[in-house]
Amino acid sequence: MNRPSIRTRLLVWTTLVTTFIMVAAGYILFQSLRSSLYEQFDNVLNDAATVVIIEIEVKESKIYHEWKKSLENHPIVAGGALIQVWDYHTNETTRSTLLGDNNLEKNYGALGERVFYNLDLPDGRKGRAVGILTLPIIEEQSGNEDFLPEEHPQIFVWAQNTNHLQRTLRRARNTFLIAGSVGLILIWFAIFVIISLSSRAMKTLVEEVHARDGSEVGKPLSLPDNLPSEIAGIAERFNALLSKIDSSRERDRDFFMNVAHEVRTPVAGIRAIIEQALRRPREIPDYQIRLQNALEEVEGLNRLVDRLMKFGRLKRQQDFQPEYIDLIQLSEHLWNLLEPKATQKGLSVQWNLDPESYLQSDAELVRVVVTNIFDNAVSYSGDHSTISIKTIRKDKTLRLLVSNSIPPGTEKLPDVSRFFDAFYRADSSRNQTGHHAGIGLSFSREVMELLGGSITASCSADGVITLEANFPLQSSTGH
Amino acid sequence: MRILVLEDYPPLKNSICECLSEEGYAVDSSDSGEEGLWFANNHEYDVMLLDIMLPKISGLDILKNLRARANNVPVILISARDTVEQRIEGLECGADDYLIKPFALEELVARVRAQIRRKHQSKSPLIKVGDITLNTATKTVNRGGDEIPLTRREYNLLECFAFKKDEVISRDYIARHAYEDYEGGSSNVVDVYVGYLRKKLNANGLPNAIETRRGHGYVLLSEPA
Repeated sequence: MNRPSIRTRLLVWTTLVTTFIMVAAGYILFQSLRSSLYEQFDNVLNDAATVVIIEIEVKESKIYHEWKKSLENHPIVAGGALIQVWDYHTNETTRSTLLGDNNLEKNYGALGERVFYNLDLPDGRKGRAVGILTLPIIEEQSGNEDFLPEEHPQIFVWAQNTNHLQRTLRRARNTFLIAGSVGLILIWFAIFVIISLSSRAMKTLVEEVHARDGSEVGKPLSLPDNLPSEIAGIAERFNALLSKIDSSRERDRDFFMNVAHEVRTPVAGIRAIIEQALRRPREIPDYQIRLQNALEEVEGLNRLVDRLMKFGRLKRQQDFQPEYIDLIQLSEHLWNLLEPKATQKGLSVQWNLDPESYLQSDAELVRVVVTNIFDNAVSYSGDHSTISIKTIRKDKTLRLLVSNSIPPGTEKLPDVSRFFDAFYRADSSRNQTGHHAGIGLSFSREVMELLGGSITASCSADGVITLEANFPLQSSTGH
Repeated sequence: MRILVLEDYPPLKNSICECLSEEGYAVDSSDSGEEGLWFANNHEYDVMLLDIMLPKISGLDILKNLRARANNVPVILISARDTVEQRIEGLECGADDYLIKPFALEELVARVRAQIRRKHQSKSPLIKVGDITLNTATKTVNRGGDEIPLTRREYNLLECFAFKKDEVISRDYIARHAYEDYEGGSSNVVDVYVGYLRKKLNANGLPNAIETRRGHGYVLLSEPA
């Protein structure tokens, strides 16, 4: 799919829009100027006509065109005026000298109304005229008693060439075109520069993304200082996503490193047993004992691989089935399973369960978490100590808190920040924790994330470790 | 030669101990960091094999403790921690060698021998004391060009002498370094084996290479009288 860049879109659209606005504004301005000039011209025409029209006089019941004499006496005032007057009824006409025998185009409105119009002058030039239907003026009543001006309306037309006006308009149009074009070019240039400068930071960001290779996927992008806030917001979110990817990749990398590390010691043991068996000829029962030892180690390794595969399957799990879970019932049931181990260590348990300890979630996954928390508490408790199991229902969360005391005399408090690292054991060796591979709590953290909850660990100064699982009361969908 | 093995994974520890015993070394072992540190501080060892991830006290803490007490026993760290940083950390703590799990027992034995040679400032597997030549790799002995067949115990005893040629060494030292099952006290097992060894070395009328220093012990002479 062809996806034009933001820069191209901005350039094209702002250019088009500014061009349209400039052209429209220029046109409107020019038309306004033209109207104004015509209006001015018409006013002059009107003023002149108004002065002249009153010189259509009635004397002794006859119409005299005194204006002709006035024009002849004041040629400068008359300018290039072309005047023609028609008698409305007889169509008898009178022309100004300049008009000769030519006729002007006749146009008029109601009595006294000024009608302005363009016309072609007899000499072929363009002109403008005002047409007025008027009545002759009776200056003296004597001798004109029988003359009724209403019966002798006159059509008065004053025309004038518009050369000067046309020239002015042409000049104005050219000025508008040149100024508009230069203005447009300057605006386009300014737009181009502004957009280019504004998009430079984005370009830098895009170039950085393009320059990335596979090994740098999780590394956050360095955001240019002048990155627009909208893009900066997206970029920061993107960086946050990259950080999550990075920490996830790092966790996976550590996990695989730890797997390799965990597998190495049993492999070293198996190898040593077999090598030692083959170092010299032995009796068959001796071989059998050594092979049996090697087999036991292989089985131990197999159990570790099984747990890892279960862990891997869980990490891939997409959906789960929410159902009603009574956490009190589940906790008691799971504790019963661990009781022999707890009894062996002389542990006692103190229950403090909220009667409303139920939730909607995936029973199998919740069971995994609770089992791991209980098992961890039993395994790492000092002998003859008390384990506290507590639930609290608050807001939209059901909290399960399990506390145990570390064995007395333990020199160093455990590093709780590493409790959820795969293969971390409170005691780094493998023979003190029995079957613990150190993946139970890491496993539980993955489960809690799937369920939309969380799991935390804390250790008080007096060596009480508390594991807290926060189950959402309703987990309707998986990730 | 007495070796201390500290490894908390029983199958591996047992195999290493058995292998080293078969190679003729006296071996002490423990799967606990605490106990291992006690052994190291209270006995003299020729080499120490030290796992890093031990219960109670880690291998690196044991190593730091030993070096802080000026205990210069050669230490080979054995660990599944294989990154360059981890190896550097181990060596910087004072280890003499670093072996990554899983490893071949033959390699482990070869490294142990190398550490013993280095401890006794001998780069070659051949140790010459006068006309006596010991091959520490094949565990064979020649005197004047003739091979002398020795039992494992006799060889261990001679090797113990050879590394301290011309030095008087006590019965107790010999017993601790040459015999795995030595319990201390007034056993005359050393005198018995020195007698056997002398008999074999001095066969064919060759001069006596091992002299008795009354009240002190024995000495292997590079120039027998």
